[in-house]
Amino acid sequence: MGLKPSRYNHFFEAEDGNILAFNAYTTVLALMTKEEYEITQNILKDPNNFSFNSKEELELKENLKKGGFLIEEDDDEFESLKLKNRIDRFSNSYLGLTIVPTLNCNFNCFYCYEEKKKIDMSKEVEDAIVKFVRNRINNVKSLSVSWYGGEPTLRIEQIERLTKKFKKLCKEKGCSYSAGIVSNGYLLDRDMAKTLKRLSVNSVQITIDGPKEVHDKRRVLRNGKGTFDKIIDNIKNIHDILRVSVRVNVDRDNAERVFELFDYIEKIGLKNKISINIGHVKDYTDACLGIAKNCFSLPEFAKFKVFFQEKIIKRGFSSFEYPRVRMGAACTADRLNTFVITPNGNIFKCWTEVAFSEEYSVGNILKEPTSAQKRNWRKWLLWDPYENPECIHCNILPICNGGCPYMGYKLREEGKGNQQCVFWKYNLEKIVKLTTYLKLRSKEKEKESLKDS
Amino acid sequence: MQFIIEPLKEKRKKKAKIKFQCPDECTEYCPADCYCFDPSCGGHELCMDGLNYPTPCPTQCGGLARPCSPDTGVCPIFHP
Repeated sequence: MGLKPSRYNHFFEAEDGNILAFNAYTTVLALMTKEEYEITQNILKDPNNFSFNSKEELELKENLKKGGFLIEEDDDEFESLKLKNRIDRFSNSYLGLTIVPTLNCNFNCFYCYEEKKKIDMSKEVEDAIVKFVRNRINNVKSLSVSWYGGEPTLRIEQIERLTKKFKKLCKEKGCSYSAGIVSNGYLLDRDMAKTLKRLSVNSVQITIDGPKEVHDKRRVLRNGKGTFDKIIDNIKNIHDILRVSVRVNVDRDNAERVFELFDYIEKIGLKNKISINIGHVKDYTDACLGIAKNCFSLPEFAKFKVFFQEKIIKRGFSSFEYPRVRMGAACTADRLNTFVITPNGNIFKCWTEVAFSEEYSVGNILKEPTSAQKRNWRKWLLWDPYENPECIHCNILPICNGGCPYMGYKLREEGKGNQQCVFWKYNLEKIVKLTTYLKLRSKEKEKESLKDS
Repeated sequence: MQFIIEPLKEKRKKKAKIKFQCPDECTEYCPADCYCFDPSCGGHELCMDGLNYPTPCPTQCGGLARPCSPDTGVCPIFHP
């Protein structure tokens, strides 16, 4: 069988002159000497006529095959990726619901992309959701629910009622149940965390936008008061019950000061008891158009992200993101069996749309879909980076998967391009170098501890 | 040539060493070996090897493990 080079190979020169080889299809990362790199390039140029004259060259060839840098001639990575994407997107073995029990929120964050609406979910919609699940659960292996808002903790009784019904259905049908919640953390005290845990909610995402002074200007109560102290107290009290993931939304205004938050988290003993990641503030909807001038562009965000990761990892925080192969759906938006359900029963495909009018929905849980809703449904499910010429030829497609469908459509409609890439496009080299540093450092530490023992 | 992040097959051989065990039906693991992001699996865990994925699996965004999100979480890449 003949061989050919992968279309997803990347080579970067390290500071010490060695070469880092990364393959975006396998996400394998390898370190090679300059000599090995030169031989590698010659092998990849013409793998079927290269004369392997030494044991080292043969070994190199085997490693290149093992890492996916060199593949069999009949292989087609793009087609395989496309197939896996289809299988995952249109599978009905998984049912994912993002449920918004209320659009009401006790916060008034200036960058929120949701229009402020005080709408709670009615009992009628609640019952219809249970019916919706009952009708779809027969072939489902796992049901996963994300509680979202508004602020979902304002409606804990409703979460409790729905969860009990979902778990009963899952038990009857032998499918697994899991849940998570996105909360501002203000009402999430120890008692509520215990309640959520009992309701199979294992993880919570809470946003903190920097040190107290910064956070309290950005994430305020409706009366304008700060929320930092209360949220921190709550995290201290719940991190042993729920897995807490802190999200720091960054833009030009707060980026320089987010590291002060880490000083504080370390000082109060939460380091490595919670996970932290940064989020890119974007002007997703008209509700937050005014923030556009403060938002990082994607290349700027990518640069900041790698700077951020390097800095906090070197300080011993455990938070790092290495490229993964995203071979399935991009998100809820382009997956057949995932739905975002809002308090008035509207069904959307994207979280960003939860406060949008019915015009943008793909259905309503209480009614038959209109032709406009069916059109929206088709739009999301026909989102397809594998038909986009720029994605087809992109050498990071396996780890990008075409990016955010919502932003992709938005950019197209605004005539700003044809795709929404992800940050790897701009920081892959640095991430690969940082990963190498971390892995080698961790191996050295292991060796040292073995010596000591 | 030295692997820094190993091929999946190699990682699977070492699966026994991983603290979190993906269910057998899972076919994919995150590069750091800590949780699976195969849609047929409902579970994932924080990375155990220092390369910590801060959030749930990406598929949950579509659902599975996801919030990327995972278990529900929220995908750090796609969700604001």
